[in-house]
Amino acid sequence: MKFESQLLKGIAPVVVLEILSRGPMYGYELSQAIERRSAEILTLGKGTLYPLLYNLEAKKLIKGKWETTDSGRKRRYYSITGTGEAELAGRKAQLVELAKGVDLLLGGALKAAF
Amino acid sequence: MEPNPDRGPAELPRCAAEYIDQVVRQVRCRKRVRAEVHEELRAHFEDDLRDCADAQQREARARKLIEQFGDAKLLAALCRRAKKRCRPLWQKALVRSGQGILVVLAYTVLCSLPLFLGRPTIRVNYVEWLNERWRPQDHQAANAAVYYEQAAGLYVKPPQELQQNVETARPELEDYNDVELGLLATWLDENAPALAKLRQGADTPDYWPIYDTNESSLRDPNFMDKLMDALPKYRYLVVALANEAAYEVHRGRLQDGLDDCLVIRRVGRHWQGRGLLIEQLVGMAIEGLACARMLDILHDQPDVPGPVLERVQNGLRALQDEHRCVVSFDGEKALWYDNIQRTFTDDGKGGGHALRQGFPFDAGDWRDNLLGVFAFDYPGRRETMAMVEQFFERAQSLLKAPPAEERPYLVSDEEEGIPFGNMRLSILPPAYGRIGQQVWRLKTGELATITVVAVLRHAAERGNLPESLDELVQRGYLDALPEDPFGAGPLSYRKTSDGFLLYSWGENLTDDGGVQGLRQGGKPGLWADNGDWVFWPVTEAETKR
Repeated sequence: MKFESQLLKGIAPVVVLEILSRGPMYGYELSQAIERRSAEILTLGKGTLYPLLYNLEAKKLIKGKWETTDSGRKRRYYSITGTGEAELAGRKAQLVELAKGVDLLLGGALKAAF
Repeated sequence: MEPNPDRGPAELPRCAAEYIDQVVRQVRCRKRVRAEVHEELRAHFEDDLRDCADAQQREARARKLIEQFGDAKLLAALCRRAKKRCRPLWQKALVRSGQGILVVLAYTVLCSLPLFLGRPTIRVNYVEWLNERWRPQDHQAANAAVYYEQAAGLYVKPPQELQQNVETARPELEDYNDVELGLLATWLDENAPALAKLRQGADTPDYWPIYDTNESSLRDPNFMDKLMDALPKYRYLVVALANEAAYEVHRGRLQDGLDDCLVIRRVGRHWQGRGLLIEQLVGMAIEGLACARMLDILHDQPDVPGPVLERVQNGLRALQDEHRCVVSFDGEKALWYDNIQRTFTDDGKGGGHALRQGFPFDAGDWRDNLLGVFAFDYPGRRETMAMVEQFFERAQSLLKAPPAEERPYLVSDEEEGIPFGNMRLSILPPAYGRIGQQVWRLKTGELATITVVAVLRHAAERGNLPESLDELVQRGYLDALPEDPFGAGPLSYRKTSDGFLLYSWGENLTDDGGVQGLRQGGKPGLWADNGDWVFWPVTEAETKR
């Protein structure tokens, strides 16, 4: 089951920040990482990926840097900033609380799933 | 190294390259930003197509990826919006300020459009209007202006050696040596034809100015240039006649000298109350000079015979008209009307709006008008014409108010439509106030001259000075008491140990007991702001001026 809906839009910044908190990545690599690490449950629309990255960069949650690879290709690597890490921590705490609430509503269904 | 946005992604399938180009084109950001977006998308496509075995597969994968990216226009819009957020604060402020300025500029241009739209309609040739304005009904009447013009054409300049001496309109021939007197006589002989024409003009009852109709606009600089070129010639002529008057007296021909002064007065009188203001001011100066010269001559001649004084008095009486118009603002009004007709549109019913050159003439306060432009609401042609009419009507009435009376303000009453802040009119009142002052000085000088002549004639015929001015009236030497425009009654007169004293209270409207005011520089003289204006005895400083 893949989520490309409004539901994903709300957590897309958290997802990107979480992935980037593990190390700098360029756009394509990031989209692959999201799918791979979410067991292909979450997928970020390609059309929203780059605007999202630019928005996070505008908010100074991530920063981009051009680098040239050994093969001579130019790539823009994004890495999380200190502000981004703080934001990620806050968002994650909110999500945990949200999950708790949803779990209670669903009668422990979420816990059972994990 | 900055990526180059113009470099086409040749290794990508055509559809991918075109898609990227389309997105980048529509991002509509700065070149550097577009280059970055281009490079990133290209890299993304390359990474995704890296594992494709052949061109066909690459093409198919590229199309699928394009589908995943979605509408190019939407993607471009999202990227543009996000990239704009990436700008630093100063840059955002700069862009917003620029946008604000552009909006203001655009609105200003829009509001200013009426100032550029439309054309003036020339309905009246005001040069011709001026030529007709003072022409008498009798079209056969001779015009003194023609003789004056001929006189100016005949004028011969003084020799170099004499130039400085004759420049003064009140020459002192006692200081001349024989050579200088000879040169003066020759120069006056050479100018006899010119002075004859000048006298002929002065004896002509009618005078009306004639302006060159080759210039159809009073706004034309040539019009004023020609006028300003002509005026000094008339001054030279009058100065020549003043020199002749002095020379005649020097030769013992007192009557001829005084007659010349009367001629100068008539010339000056011709130029008053008609034409443009500058000409009228010249006319006033000429008449003022004649009065002063006449007093100088009488002062220097201790025993002027009664018949000579009677002749002078008759000449002065013929010119006496207290209610005459010394200055008419009709010429100035015509200048304004011509300006308005050339800088406002005309709807044929008296309405219209100011064009850009007409804006300074527009009725009302210029600051209000400027704001009015932004509201598309500022006074039009009708209001401006009414303002000009009202202004000059008040200016004209101001001249009639004697200095001793409280004068109305020329520009002040907002409710009467002539505000202080009118761009062009507001600069006129100080000058017009000064003109009013000059008019009353001239009238005072005229009254003083005729009174002095009457006193001297009384003395010559009766062997004594009158005790008061009333006596002069009672005995028929004066038609009426000479009311001092600057005082609270007649001109002040009293007998002194060596003659008599005649004075006006002067500009300060106070009787200072006949003590002459001091001019700038500390010398006593007529028309000083302080003290009295003593017409008799003529002060030494006055005769040397």
